[in-house]
Amino acid sequence: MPMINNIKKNKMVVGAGPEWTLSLEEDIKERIDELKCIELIAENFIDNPLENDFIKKLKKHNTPVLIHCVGLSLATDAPLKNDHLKKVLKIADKVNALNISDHLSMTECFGLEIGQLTPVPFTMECADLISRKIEKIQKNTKLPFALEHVAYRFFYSKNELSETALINKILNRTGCGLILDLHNLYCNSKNNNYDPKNWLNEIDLKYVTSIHLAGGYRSDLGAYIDGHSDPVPVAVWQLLEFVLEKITPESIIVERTSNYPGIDEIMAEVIMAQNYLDKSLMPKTIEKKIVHNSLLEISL
Amino acid sequence: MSMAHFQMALAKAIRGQKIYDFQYFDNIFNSNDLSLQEKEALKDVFNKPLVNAYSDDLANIRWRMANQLIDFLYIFIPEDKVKEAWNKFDKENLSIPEFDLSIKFLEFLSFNKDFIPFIEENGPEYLIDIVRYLYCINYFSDTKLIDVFKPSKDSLLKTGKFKLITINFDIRNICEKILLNKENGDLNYYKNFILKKPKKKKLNILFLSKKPTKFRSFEIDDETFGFLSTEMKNPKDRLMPKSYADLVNLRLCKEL
Repeated sequence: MPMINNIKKNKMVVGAGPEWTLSLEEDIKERIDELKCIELIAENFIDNPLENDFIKKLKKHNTPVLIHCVGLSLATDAPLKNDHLKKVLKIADKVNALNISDHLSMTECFGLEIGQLTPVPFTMECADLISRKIEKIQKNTKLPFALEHVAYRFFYSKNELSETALINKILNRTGCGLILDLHNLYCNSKNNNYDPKNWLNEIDLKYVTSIHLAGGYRSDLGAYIDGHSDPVPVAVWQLLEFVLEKITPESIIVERTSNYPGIDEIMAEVIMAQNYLDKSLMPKTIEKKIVHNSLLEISL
Repeated sequence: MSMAHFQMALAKAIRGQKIYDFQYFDNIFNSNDLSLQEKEALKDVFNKPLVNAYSDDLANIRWRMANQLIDFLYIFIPEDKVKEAWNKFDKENLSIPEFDLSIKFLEFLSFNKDFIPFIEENGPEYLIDIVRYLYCINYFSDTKLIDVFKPSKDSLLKTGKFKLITINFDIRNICEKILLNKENGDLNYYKNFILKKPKKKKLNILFLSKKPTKFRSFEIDDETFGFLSTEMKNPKDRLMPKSYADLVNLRLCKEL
């Protein structure tokens, strides 16, 4: 019987918020009361005394914080990085943390830093390895844990499972949450020419706790990159609308971590995401026009 | 090879590399950091690079995305000329996202006089403005404008030239132009466009700023035409006096 202690059947909806970046930090301090939530990359705050003030400010305002990691390297065939986890949990203790999360990927291997979210093979061995690590994380904290799928730079030829089957296996076994990154999905679908809605229909959406939105760019050779560098594309907003007809997440995070455009533009997208979320909570008789009007309002 | 050993080889191969460009994979096998066994393991496991350069599938997707609006151009320009221009533009602009392709391509065309002779007569901004207008209607209205235009394309082509009626709204140098032909009765296609929304008596008109991403639509009643400029701070300044509408022939459309 799978442990479902992390799935909230009656989830509290927190709202939409931005992802922290250093560029954003100064501007967001002025508007911290507007934040329904914010996502922090934990590794930016570990052993970094320069960021203590911002952490304290978040605590003071009791801003809900999603602690997002890149350094647990869940897919590495090695024991769980307990020391790293302790440091992450220490950050979480300092704020009003909603959950902690990391990626379905490898970022480090036996001390060798890879520097990017490396894709995993879709195999039973991988599912087992990652599930065991998540179960250990869950035993170390009361905070819910969520797993995010990544944008793939390459695919392995000897996959036993589909990507969605792999993810579902891990979710069903551990009961952890899923961070549904719609821009990662968009990138993968563009680069591999498949319909992202088919992917969404295969994934077990009841585990979704948070949705990520972002924008990217094409490389010179045509690959679409999850750069977190551009406005959220229209197609990704459409995917959000598609998903929100099926489930309501606790939060939506707008990730703009490079090519900082100014706080107004980032918050405009956050507000738009909030509008989509609010609309999904309305009775279904309300026309979709509300969302389109929001789109037009924000574009000014 | 064990998973751990393979992962170590993978980490050595890709750390610090941009692994979304296909020629990267040549780098793996030229690397001095990897043993022969490791190279063989990596070579055996990878399927294909993320995007195999400019594949036919990608080319077709991009052409279909751009073509939804470019089809309008066939009214004025032979299809083979448009395709010729597209082939040149596309390969040099792979970094443009699909949803921006139409407008960017039209900007490209509007400054290339070999492809659009009549731009010389009307000015390059004309075509951009029309297509931005059509683009926004197409995206936001219940009626897909291309579906309206397509059935009329043959009849429009048979009539020969179009007479252009220009609305000069000199509001901070932004103009709106609507393409109509009175003499041959082809205003019917525009009338059909309005009547495509049978339950509404309002005409939804979109007003565009210079930047293609900024726009605002404004629902109007039968007596008032509203155009909103994103550059106007005072809401009152945004509304167009009715007298301008008299100049525009939109009223003529409504009377049909």
